Amino acid sequence: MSPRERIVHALLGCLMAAAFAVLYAPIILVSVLAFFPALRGKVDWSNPSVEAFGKLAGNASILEALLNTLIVGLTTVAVSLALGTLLAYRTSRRNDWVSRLVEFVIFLPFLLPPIITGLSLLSSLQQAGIPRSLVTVVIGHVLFVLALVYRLLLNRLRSIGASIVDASHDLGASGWQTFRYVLAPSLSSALLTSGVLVFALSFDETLITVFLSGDDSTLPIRLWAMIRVGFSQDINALVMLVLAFSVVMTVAIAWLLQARRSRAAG
Amino acid sequence: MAVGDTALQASDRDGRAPGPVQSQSPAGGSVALAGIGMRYGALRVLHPTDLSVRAGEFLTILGPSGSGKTTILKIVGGFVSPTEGRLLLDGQDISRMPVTQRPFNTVFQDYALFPHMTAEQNVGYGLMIRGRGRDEIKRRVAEVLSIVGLADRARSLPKNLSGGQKQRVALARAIICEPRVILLDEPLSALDAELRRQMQTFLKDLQRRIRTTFLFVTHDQEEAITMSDRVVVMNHGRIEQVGAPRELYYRPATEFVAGFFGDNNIIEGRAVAGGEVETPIGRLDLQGDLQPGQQVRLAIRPEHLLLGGGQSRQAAEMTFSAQVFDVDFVGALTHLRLRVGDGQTLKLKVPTPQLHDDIRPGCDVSVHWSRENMRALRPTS
Repeated sequence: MSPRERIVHALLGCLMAAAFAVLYAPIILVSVLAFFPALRGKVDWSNPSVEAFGKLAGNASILEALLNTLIVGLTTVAVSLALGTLLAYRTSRRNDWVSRLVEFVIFLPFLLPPIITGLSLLSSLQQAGIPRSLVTVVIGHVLFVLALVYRLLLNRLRSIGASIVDASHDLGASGWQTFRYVLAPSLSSALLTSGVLVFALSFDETLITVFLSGDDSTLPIRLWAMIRVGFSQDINALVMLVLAFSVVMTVAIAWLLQARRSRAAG
Repeated sequence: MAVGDTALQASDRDGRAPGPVQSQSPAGGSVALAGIGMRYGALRVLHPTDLSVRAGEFLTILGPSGSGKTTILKIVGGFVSPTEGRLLLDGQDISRMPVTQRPFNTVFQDYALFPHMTAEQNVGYGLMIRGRGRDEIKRRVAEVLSIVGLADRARSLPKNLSGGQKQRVALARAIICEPRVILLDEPLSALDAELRRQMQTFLKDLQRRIRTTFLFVTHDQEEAITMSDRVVVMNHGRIEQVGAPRELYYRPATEFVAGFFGDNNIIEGRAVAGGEVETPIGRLDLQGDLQPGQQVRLAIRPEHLLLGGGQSRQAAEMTFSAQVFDVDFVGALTHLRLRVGDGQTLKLKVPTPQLHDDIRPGCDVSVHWSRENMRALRPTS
């Protein structure tokens, strides 16, 4: 490598380090701050502690928000997987106008700005006289994530091919038996991946939730409310926990997708 | 290759005389299509068709892609409903019977093995669905796997099996439920030439042994000729001709059939009075009932043309003088091309040992054939 090339490489390296620092330093800073008490905006660096996490654990409203988040997340996973499987199966078996309509409509909520989805859902629910609650939050989340589940499962079903379903019927199996013995085992990894992905999305979702949650708030909404009152160490601790959870989910998704790819290749 | 060998050895080793695998297994069923047709909107894929498949026969539906052959198979299997007509099994109307209840099993073109199940789980699936006992399933699966020569691969997943082995798992899975009819949708098209020939023999032997009706779909005319009791030739959603392989080969009814099976000499002509046809090589007496003035195409196989003057000089013989313009040695046979009369070219296939050394391009010969080997073709619809 010539000296000139070396300089270029060094410069590129610096540029990349700077970019990473700008992008990720705030996140790291917030996590670090969770361990240091702050008084009137001044951080006391001399006295690291996990006290903030303890306070968090004692905060009933936060625990309630966490519980709500888990309920919404798991319900969203269950409903979107069931609905996504049905729709993907329908589309994979028949290519008629219903399937084409599903293909078109299902991606709209995912592509529309969440604020539009949230707003339109809110006004429709009000017209229908349905009060805001965790149920409406789940409806909003399902609408948002359904396209993903649908796409993942449809890809899987298409790669399986229609003929094994035909073969199962040919050997006498009913629709349910075919799903139970032939499709579900082939879909299991796709279902798992979608489930984790949906849970992660639902866990973080804020904009649609803002419109649809009534008195029950989820963790991001709770965080939002706390920020408006003023920054505190609790907030940092909560941010760090949400962050840690998101990282775990991201790693899990990446790992699941990787495992699927290598299985498909092998 | 080794795969196919074991299969053939396995069936040879058993050494049983052709007969049912189990005495109580029902014999093959007879299937009849009565005016069965298929339309997708304005698109006709199958014109109303009558066809009967005899009990226990090996019937092949042969045709190019888009000829409607796979549509017939799917209708019989119950995967699609015909837009018209009735389907009968042993005289009973089964048009409305769902696929899950038809006593037919299918071998799919891409095998359609369940990827997460082992070979024996795949084969036992039909019995498992029928709620048979664990022991019975185990015994029957072992029996059928040994018939197809795969006893040692029972616990392999499909992805660890070769193409020929997957093929035989698919076959075992189809025969284990003792269907009245087995439907085979181009099952050999994914195999290489050598393996395909071995599987042809294997399938034919298997069919003779289990005596189930086989309905086989292919676009490969050699496959159709070598395996089948009868062949149905299809084109553009219609049946062109039904018959034994020899009959289709030597007595093609239409231009399409004549062109589909190997080489043919085609002589164009026009019918004149008295059953004779005016052609570039002269008048030919066909003794057929042809309308005078009608355009006729006559077909004769290259191997039916003989060199030298007709020995017997019977009325049925047609003899012409000709000039050789091409001699092509291809081994056991030598291909000759002759020019006869007014620019007509005829191809001959002569066994090489019977050919005189002095036959070279440019020399004059005479050529004859028997009238019964010559066919007037119906134009293709």
